[in-house]
Amino acid sequence: MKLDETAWIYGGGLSAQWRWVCGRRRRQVRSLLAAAADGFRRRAPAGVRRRPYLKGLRLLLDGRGAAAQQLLLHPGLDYWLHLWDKHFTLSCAEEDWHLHMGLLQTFAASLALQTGQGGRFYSVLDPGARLFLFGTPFYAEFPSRLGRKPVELIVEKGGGLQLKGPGPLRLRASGAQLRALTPSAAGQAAARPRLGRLLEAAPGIVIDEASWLLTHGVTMHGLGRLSAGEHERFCRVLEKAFEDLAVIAPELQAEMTDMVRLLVPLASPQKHSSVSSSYVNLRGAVCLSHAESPVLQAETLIHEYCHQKMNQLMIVEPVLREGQGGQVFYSPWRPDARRLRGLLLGAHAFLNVARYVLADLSRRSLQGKAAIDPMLNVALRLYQVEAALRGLSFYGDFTEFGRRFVLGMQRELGVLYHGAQWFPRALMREARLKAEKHRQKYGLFETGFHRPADLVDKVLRAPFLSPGGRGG
Amino acid sequence: MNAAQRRDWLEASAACLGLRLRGLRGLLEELDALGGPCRWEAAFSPSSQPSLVRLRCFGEALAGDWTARAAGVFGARTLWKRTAAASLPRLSLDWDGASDRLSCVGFFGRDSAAEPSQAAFHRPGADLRRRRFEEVPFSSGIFPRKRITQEVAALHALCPVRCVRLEWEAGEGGAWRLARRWALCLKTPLAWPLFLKLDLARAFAARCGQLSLLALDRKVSEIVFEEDLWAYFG
Repeated sequence: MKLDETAWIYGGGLSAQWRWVCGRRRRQVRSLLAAAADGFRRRAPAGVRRRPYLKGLRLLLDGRGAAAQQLLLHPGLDYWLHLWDKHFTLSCAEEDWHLHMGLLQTFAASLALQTGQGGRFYSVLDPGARLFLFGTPFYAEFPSRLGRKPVELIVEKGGGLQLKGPGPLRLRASGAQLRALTPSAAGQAAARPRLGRLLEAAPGIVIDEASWLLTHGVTMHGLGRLSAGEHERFCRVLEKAFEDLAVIAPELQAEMTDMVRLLVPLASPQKHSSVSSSYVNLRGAVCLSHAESPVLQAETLIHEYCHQKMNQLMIVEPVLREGQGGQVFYSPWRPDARRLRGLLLGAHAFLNVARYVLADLSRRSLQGKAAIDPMLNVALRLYQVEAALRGLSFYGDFTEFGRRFVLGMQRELGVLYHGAQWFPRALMREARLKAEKHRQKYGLFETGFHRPADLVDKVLRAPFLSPGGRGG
Repeated sequence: MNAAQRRDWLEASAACLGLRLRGLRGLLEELDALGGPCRWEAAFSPSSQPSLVRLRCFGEALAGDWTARAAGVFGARTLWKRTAAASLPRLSLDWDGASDRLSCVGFFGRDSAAEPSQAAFHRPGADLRRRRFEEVPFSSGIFPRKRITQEVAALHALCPVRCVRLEWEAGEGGAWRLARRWALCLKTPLAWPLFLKLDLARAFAARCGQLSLLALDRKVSEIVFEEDLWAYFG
């Protein structure tokens, strides 16, 4: 399929191209799961192979329909495959096999629950003594001493759920009871076993920081460890952000709500600052700290989602030709250097952020002082995106699609500059000087290279136009 | 680089890298005095011996006896009557910028147009080293290691390789054996900053800012692989 770059620079909605790219990723996941099944048969200890773990894996592999398709792209499964590749191609303790294969059963159980087909699955509580039905908001929580204990999951055909174990413990809820559960965060130290339902910022997008599988790979920042009230507030602001996105950038929002399944609250290192991250092995999860502003949260969601969108696109379309990883370049957003791929992702994300904030500014018709911060935000982003595109065009070798994509971003940047024409000139100048100051500090003169700390510059430069020499 | 550009480059390198090159400058002036249009290339290596300066001189239009006269500047003799293939230099030299001394000088030639080009390398206090050159088109079967083949193939896709130049060294009993030194000759020289972004050039990353200041926009023509990687530019 020939990809249309305009659908990838900004949101293109759930188009045929989107479905095709997602389909290619699903094919990749199926292939990896099949390889995992083969690896399990050959390498798993005998005691592990006696459990019907492969039955759950087969259910996932053979599943068709919307629920199955969504599960294949779930961030939890992405991370599960990452852990499989990292650990289970080598020798592992039997209890690690049980944990890993037990976690996979929760995906199968989730599929059975969503499709109403029912089934029996042998799982294991995660090290936090919790069990999550990934792809649904439902979870079970037990006293922490029961971490890693086996549990039998029975999905009833009517949509109910039973948990047998660990030991004599039992939990059960009908489909109606599950749906009626009041949303609450997991990880609030369960003294007694309970079934719960995670908060959702939008349908299908849960908020969670307690699932071991989903947070094990969150390493860049600390988890938020929010109280029940803080979770609630975190969720409300994000709900508003998604509502605003649906109005201002509906195609982008449609893609986002199709791909993002999980929001992980992070701890903010300093008051009044926000942090966010996403991971290539946890696609569909966005990690972000709380902010009271839905606009700021929307910006963060867009930023992280755009990285994930590009990572997904680059499975089928590399954009940058292979073999260009030898150098790092000046990044307008950071003091340290970035590779070409980093510049590409940064330019793409902040182009989308700038467009959103500009559109929001216009929609709300902000005036006077209330408009200053958003305008400065947009202006700075425009200059930063321009610097990144400059670096990319100086050094990058692109595929045919990549050339269209980068040129397309440059054109969209031009359009946004038009959109900012009514910004006060002093404000634009301030943003431009800020960007320029950053480049002078961290860039190598006028090139796109990063300036190394040990640069020694004793090159004699020809003097031009000395005051005495001008005009004769 | 012509002689003037070479001088500027040496001055900048000496100042920025703290090199002692007075002796080298003197030798180069003597070579310049031999006359003839020379084209110079210098080389950078990312790692060992940052004080080692490498230069080589090409001269398709130089007089046939230029190499012999140049050898005389070093108190040496050339072994061949004919010049080497045009893709090879007339002369190469390594200079130790820490001690301001010659490290190695090489003279290139061949017995006849049909014979392979050769070089004789003179190191102070060491035996003469002879090398024979063979240029072969790049193909996947050349390299024994898959990783090297993949990296070179990726380079070739971005920046076509004209040929792989193999070196043979004189072994015992006059037999030639493959030396641990080979080169990728680029079809079209590649600007230094664009060379640096290649996977193959990752070793330069730690010194890229400094080397960029010295290489400017000069073009890389050849990448030599021996103990270290060397990129020749002119």
